Amino acid sequence: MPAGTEGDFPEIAYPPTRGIRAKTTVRIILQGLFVLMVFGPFCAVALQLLDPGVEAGRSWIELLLPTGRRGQLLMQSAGLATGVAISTTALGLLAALALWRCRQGRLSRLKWLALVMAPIPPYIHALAWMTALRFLSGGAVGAGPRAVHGWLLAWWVETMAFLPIAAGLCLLGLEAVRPALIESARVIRSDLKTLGLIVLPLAAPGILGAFVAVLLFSLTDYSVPSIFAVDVYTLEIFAEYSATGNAGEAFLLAAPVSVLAIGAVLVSQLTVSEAASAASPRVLTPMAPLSLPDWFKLIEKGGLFVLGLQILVPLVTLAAQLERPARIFETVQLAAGDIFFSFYVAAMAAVVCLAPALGAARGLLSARGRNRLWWFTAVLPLAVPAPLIGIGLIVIWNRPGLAAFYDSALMPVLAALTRFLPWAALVVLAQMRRVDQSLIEAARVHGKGTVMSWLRVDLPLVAPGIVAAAGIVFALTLGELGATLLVTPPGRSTLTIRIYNYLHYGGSADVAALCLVILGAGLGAALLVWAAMSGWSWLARRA
Amino acid sequence: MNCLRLLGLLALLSALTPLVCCVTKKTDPVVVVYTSVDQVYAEPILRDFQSRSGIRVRAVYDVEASKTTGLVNRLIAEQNNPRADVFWNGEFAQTLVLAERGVLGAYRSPAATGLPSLHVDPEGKWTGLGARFRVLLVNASLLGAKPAPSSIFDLLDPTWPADRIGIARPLFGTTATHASALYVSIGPSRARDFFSRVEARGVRVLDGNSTVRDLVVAGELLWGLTDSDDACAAVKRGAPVRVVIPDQDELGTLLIPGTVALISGAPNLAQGQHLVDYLLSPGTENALIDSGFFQLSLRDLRLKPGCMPTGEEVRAMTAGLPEIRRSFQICQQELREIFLK
Repeated sequence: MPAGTEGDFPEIAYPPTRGIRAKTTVRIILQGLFVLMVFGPFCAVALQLLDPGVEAGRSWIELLLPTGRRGQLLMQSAGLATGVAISTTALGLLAALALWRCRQGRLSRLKWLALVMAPIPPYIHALAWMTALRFLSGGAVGAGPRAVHGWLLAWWVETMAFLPIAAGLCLLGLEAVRPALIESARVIRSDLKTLGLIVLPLAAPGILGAFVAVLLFSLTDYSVPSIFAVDVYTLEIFAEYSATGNAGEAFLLAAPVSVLAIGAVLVSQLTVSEAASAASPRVLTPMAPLSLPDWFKLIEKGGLFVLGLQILVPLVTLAAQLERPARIFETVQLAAGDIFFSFYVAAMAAVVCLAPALGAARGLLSARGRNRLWWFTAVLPLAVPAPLIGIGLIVIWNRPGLAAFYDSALMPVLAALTRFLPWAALVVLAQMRRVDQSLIEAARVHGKGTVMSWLRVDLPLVAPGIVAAAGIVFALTLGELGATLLVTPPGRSTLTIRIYNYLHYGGSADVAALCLVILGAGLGAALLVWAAMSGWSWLARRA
Repeated sequence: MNCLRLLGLLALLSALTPLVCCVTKKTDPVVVVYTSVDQVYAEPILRDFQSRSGIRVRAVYDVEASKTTGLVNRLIAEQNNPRADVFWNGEFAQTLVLAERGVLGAYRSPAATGLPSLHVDPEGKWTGLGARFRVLLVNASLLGAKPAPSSIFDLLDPTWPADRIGIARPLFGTTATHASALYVSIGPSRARDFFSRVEARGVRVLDGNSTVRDLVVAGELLWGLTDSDDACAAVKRGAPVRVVIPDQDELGTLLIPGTVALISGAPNLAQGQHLVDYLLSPGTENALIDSGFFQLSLRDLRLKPGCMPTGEEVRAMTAGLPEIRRSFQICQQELREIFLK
């Protein structure tokens, strides 16, 4: 029985039927697929260390233990990532609260537009904010003490870049809170206390998920800190890899970041499991919006304002750089193949991730005792630098006889799956936790069979999470560069690769036009999530 | 029921993906080229080759943001089962790495005739093609009547405010190669001392050469050290900038020849050789000079019409390419201690 239902329902011992056995087999296959996809490249790179043909520069211990300068770099990275995670989660939560409380009207329908900037690479955010700051300060972004302003700018730009993801995950968490519990609490407590004592603890999975996601994104990002001359640990990994070309050594250097990532996720999950079990079972009922004091609403609006700023600043700076329509058309036409290929890869990754993500989410849902290893499995690869994942995929797939696969769009799809499948699993897990288990139990008792009841009851109930996961994977895949660059089939390229190419050339008008294309795709992904959440509400009303 | 259909469709799509992805391509003659030359410059050249030869070109482009961990590492990882036929590099250091690792195959192209021996590998594993070089890009409007800097050592001149001059982080790309060349030319201890003082002074150390260019163009920097192609792109767009070739009195500037190489075990050997010949032809070199990617022909080292005074001969650093490559790793280790902390 899933974690969320323990204590509320007695354990029912069902006789093993053929349907249940089939369901278990399918689950094991999907979980195996997840482990293979996520860990395959990871292990392939690790095995490079045992390759006698690769010259070993330094000892394993020396690489694994970040002492001296590297230790300091790691601390700096952890400090920046923690700062970014705190501010992003706080702002994301405030904005999500404001959106969540709008349960009727236009804003309620537009709230998933918060995700629209998710696929824009952080580098583009950095350029947009530099342009905006230069405009506001009359060209003096460089003024002031360099060390201070570099850190501040890196913190701010990363906060802006990761805010859509944080706001989206917080919103998912809030949407998962059972309205009946809130209504019960409101009878005896003020709305503000209900928010603090009931809503936020119950939404903790989403909020902590946002914190950990941003922490990991920031820990592994080098592009923004590098622009603002901030030294972070990931740059050390890239410098080492660039100088030696030894993937195994770079993998060992990345291990301390992985340890930080695992620590963050495990700590967050210890807190989440308590909140989750307190929150179930859930049945969605209509709820009047919480009535909060004016000062709180003002803070909320502050969060919403920053969320709007995060969309508006890149949008305005990009639009300002556009040239005449004919030039925009020419740029988009020239990149048409890349646009099609990017969308194709992102769509395929979004679709293919679903089945293994479902299996992994089921594993995570029942992660107790030895099963807690599932968390380790899902999180470990999240902090591995993207190029190493690309190298791992090459090691696995570049073999005689596999040319048809290796030279195809399958490779960038696999790269995206390796990088983002864990995120999809976590989003599906969040949805599974909000499903009313009594519906599933009822379906098992009264349904036509395990498989049919799974298809007709379980799956539709998790469907919104599945579509949200697909939307997130789609958005993240569109912006992926590090791994895609290494496995893109010859003759194909992605929109992101072309954008970075233009950036080097200095074609800001072309960059702006193509970024707006990505933005349009982000809008599509946001609409997809919105459709899923609307579908969920409709299903809940029917139930 | 609708939901069921939707999920059925998703499952079907999941199952079909590998099949759709792997649809067999046409069987025309093909050549696969991996290139670090900017797509905007390389694409027209490769298209021209395709239309002239009838050989379909399948290219993979690198980006500066990958911090030199892109195509070179892909080629190394693919070494046991090569997929590429040709590596066309915008610089030389990474090509030498590939040659050392046995990734490149020997091919003496007839089109390399007239190239100085310095730019042709004695074993035929790579050949030079056109050149860029390191320049100082100066914001002419901000500088006014003040004399422009003339040497990279002006980075240490206290008359220039440190936070208004910049270089790219010397751990990646051509700035890393330039640092390595300095290690060879002026000796490791002087070079180390130079970079330590640059860092200690608080000179802006930026993300890449294009960032240096952009900040000079934006007026945030008075001047900065960058590549000639980046500088010329700014001149071409009409930015208020001037290009200065540094150290023309004594040391010389770092010449960055492009390189072309055939991959060892290339799956389409004949087509690969054909493409190498085409890329090394004087016509292609001129086209790349005209487009602004190269500023020099390796055949005479004189500046071609473009963003700098034509006809001048560029004084290059005397350090040999293999020596620069050899000092690279130790130089990088030391510079990481200085610039990454």
